[in-house]
Formats: sequence, C-alpha cells, structure tokens
Amino acid sequence: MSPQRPRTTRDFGQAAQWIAVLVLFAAIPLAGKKFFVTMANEVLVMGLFAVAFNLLYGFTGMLSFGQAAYYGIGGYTVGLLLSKGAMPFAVALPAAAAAGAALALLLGPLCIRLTGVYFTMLTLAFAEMVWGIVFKWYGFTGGDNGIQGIPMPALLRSPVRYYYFTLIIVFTSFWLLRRIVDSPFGAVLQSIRENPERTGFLGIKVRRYELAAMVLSGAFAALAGGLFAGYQHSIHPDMLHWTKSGEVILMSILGGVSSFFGPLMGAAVILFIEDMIGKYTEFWEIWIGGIMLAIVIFFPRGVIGTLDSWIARARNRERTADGTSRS
Amino acid sequence: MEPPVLEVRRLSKAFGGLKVTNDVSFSIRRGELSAIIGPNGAGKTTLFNLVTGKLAPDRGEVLFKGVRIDGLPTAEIARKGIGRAFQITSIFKERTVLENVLVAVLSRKRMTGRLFRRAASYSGAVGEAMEALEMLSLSGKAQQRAGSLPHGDQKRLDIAVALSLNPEVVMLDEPMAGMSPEERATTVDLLRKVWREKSLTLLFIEHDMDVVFGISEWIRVLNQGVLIAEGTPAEISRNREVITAYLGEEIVE
Repeated sequence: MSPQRPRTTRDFGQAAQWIAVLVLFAAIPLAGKKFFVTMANEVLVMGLFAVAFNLLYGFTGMLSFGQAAYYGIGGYTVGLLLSKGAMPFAVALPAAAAAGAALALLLGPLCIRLTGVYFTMLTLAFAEMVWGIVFKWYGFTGGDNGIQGIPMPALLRSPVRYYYFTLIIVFTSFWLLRRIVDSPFGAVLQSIRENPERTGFLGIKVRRYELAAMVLSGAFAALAGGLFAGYQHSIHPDMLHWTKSGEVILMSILGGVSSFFGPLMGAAVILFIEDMIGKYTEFWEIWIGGIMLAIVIFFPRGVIGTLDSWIARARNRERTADGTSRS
Repeated sequence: MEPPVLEVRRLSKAFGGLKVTNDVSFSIRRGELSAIIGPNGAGKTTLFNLVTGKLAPDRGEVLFKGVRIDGLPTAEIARKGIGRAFQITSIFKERTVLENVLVAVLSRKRMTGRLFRRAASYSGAVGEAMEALEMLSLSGKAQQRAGSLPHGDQKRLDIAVALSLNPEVVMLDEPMAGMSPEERATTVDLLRKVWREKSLTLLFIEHDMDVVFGISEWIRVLNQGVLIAEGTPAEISRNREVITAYLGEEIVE
C-alpha cells in the first residue's frame, strides 16, 4: 500500500454512508406526517449533541458528565437573545456556539486538572452549578419557568422549513467534526485517548489539547441546544439537568462510541423507544433498561461499532481467501 | 569545548525512605552508544524518568547540551530532543501502525494544531513516517492495528515512534525484553544501523548481557540507586564490585 493513499473504495463507502443518511433524513417530511418531522428534528438535534459529546468521550477518552451545561447555555443564549435582546436568529445561533465555547474555556481548565473518574465528577459538579444558577435566577433566566414564546423569524416558523434548516446545520456540523477527527489535531486526540502519558513524551502538551477538545465539543453541544430552542420556541432548566448529560452518554454508548455516527444512531434508538413505548406504557424506562441490556450483551461495542467490526472481520476473511495481503 | 549532550549532576530521588537514585553523576558525549545495567530495583527506570521529566529530582541537576532541563514538563523535554521508548510497550494500540508514528512526525513538525485537512493527506509527514517504519522493518504492516502486532513488533514500533521525533538522544528502556533470540539479533542489528545512520546518542537499559557487552561502547552500572561503576565493556567485566553486585562470577572467564 502506498503511503500517499489515493481515494480508495473505503472512502467511497464512507461517502455512500453519508449520502444514505442524509437522503434518509431529507426524505422524512415527504411522508407527510407531522409526528415524523418532530421526531426526526429531535433525533438530529440530540444526534449532534451526542456526536459532539463523543468527540470528547469516544475520540479523546474524556468522560464528561456535564455536557448538558453546554447544551443548555446554547439554548438559553438563543432564547434570551431572541426574546429579551431582540436579536435576529442569524446572530443568536452562532452566538450560542460561541457561548458554549466560552463556557468550556472557563470550566475546562478547572476540570482537566484531574483525570479519569475525578474529571467526570468535576464536570458533573460544575454543570450542576450552572444548572443551579439558571434554575434560581428568575429575573434573568425565568428560573424554573424557563422562557416561552421565543419569537422566531417568519422564514423558520413552519416546522418543515425549520426541519430542513436543522438538517443543513447539523450535517454541516457533522462534516466539520468528521474533518476534525481525521485531522492532525484529531490524531492527537485519539493518541491521548489511547495513552496520554506517551502523547506527552511526543512533545505534545496534552492538557492544551484536552481543553481544545472541550471547547469544540462545548461549541457544538451549544449549537445543538440553540437549534432545540428554535424548534421548541421555549427553553427550560431541564435542558441543563444532569439527566440530560446522562442521556447523551447513554445514546453514545448504545450507538457505539468507536464510530463517528454511532451516537446519532443511539439518539435515534432512544428517542424512538421513548416515544413509541411511552404511548403504550408509562414504564418505558424499564423497556429502555431491557433494550440497553440486550445491546450490551449482543453488541458490546455499541450497535454501529459492533456492525463495523463484523464488516472488518468479513473483509479480512475475504482478503485472506484471495491470498492478497495488504502490504 | 562542546558540553556533553547529556549530563547528570548529583541526582537524587527518594520514594518515602527509599533512595532510588542516590547522588548519581555522569555525562554522555555526543554519539555515544551506551548501556545502563544493574539488578532489579537498582533505579534504572527511575533514572530515565528523572531525565525525561516524568519525575522531578529531589536534588541535583540534569543538563541537556549544557542547559538545565530537570523539572521541565515531559512534552518540553521531548521537544528539546530527547526521545524515549518504554519498558512496558507504550504504543497507541487501537490506532494503525502508521498512525502511531505519524502523530510523532506531525508533532515534530508542529502541525498538530491543524484542524481541517486529513492527517493522511500530509504526504510529506506520511512519507517520513513510512521511512521510520522502514528503518525498523515495519513498513509492511503500516495499515495494521498496532495492538494486533506480535510483541516483538510492538517493541520495535515503540522505538520507531521515539525515533520519529528525530531526537538527538534516544533512551530505550529494555528494548528487547520478551523478544525471542532471533528477534533480539535483528533488533540489535537495526539499532546499530539506526544509531550509525542518524548519528544518534543512544542510551539503553538491558538485562541481556550478550546484547549489552556486544554493542555498547560504554557501560554504567547502578546498584541500589548508586552508580557503582562506568567504563568500557572490558573494564566493566573485570570490575570486582560489579561482579559481586550484579554480574556474578560465571561471566568472568
């Protein structure tokens, strides 16, 4: 195999995957059911949140239990700028991403002083503080009432239009995140995941890259939160609650943290189960628990991760059968 | 006169009451191929950790080309030109063999801040990474997952990663531990070749005395944290103290 890798069938396979997912989402409003659009919108937003979380967890090895703070700050930035600041949405949404990045720049240095489970606890603690402030500060955030009736621009008031807008933003973000994962910077993040100490011995200041990963992940999480606020026309402190941070972890693990789109898949599965089973029984959490168990047993690397490794194994077998080794 | 490339002055480190490094001083001239030997627990790996910044010394100094480096963070010491491979193989197991060395090359070229182009499309860096693999006869396995390599290949990959930083000084902690005799022989040849071609200063810890006495120009002996002797292989093999502390009688002809 030549070092300057030309475009291979694998690249085409990846491109095909992207197009398939994009076409699938783009086709959903054609079914003509409002419920599908609402559902798909939520999947896209939570999917972006989960893929952004996975930049930290799956790719850098940092398990943050406080990502809801960034998601929430994005939502509140959009909500407050539109309802109190009378800013246009076109300003508010980028401002949401910037607010997420800024919050990560503030909290990140405090969290990355510790590693492993202690890092996780710090992220949870700081996120709870942010939640507490939002929950209590009635004068500014509306406290536990949140803010309703966020004025949206006329162009985006129809659910289907807003859905396509979300689709474009989310897929552009996916594409950016994919580029980041494959870049030299992304290679460093994955080295840190595998072995932070060795990465340091390569002359790389590990903390600086960990902080950068938190900033990027926070910015995209906040963007997802901003999109959510625009589609709900309301914000609520629940967006910052620790259960939201837990949900995004669950989604990622269920879909597979070793693959880029795994978390999106996880988001789709969980939201679908919540909704479908929620219609028939109030005990849908039991079903989620059962399905989680089954997935952990049968798909130990998450749904997509396990499928990926099956495909890789099949390919290997093919290659050995051909007698052509990749050398 | 040119200062020694690496110098250690009265270095001490204790863990609790145990003096793991006790007033150790030596200097290494540019281009030297030398070994550090000593019984288990003599403080060999600790000495490496003190030089490469994984540990800070309690007392004493480490100088790289005449400049103090003790107490600096590992990343900074690595940047100055000291590369290191590990006793317990320390590679990025879930990444491919090529990605393992590529990240080191990108780090050396200060390109790791780049966010947008694919790492694999930096053909200059990829080419250099392939050369490093070539040098340790690993280029045929570039696309394999590093963790799937046999043990000997993983050890050599660890060395290739250290070399990809183009360091002036390379410190290898038991580079041949766990290798078969044949693998040892090839690795010894590869190391000697790399050392000569890149005019490296190479410093290694090793327990295989055939390897140590076969390739070293200079040997330093540690025992209980103290540098008890240094000299040419011939001098060391005759040193009474070294024989009683470590080598045993049988090696003396």
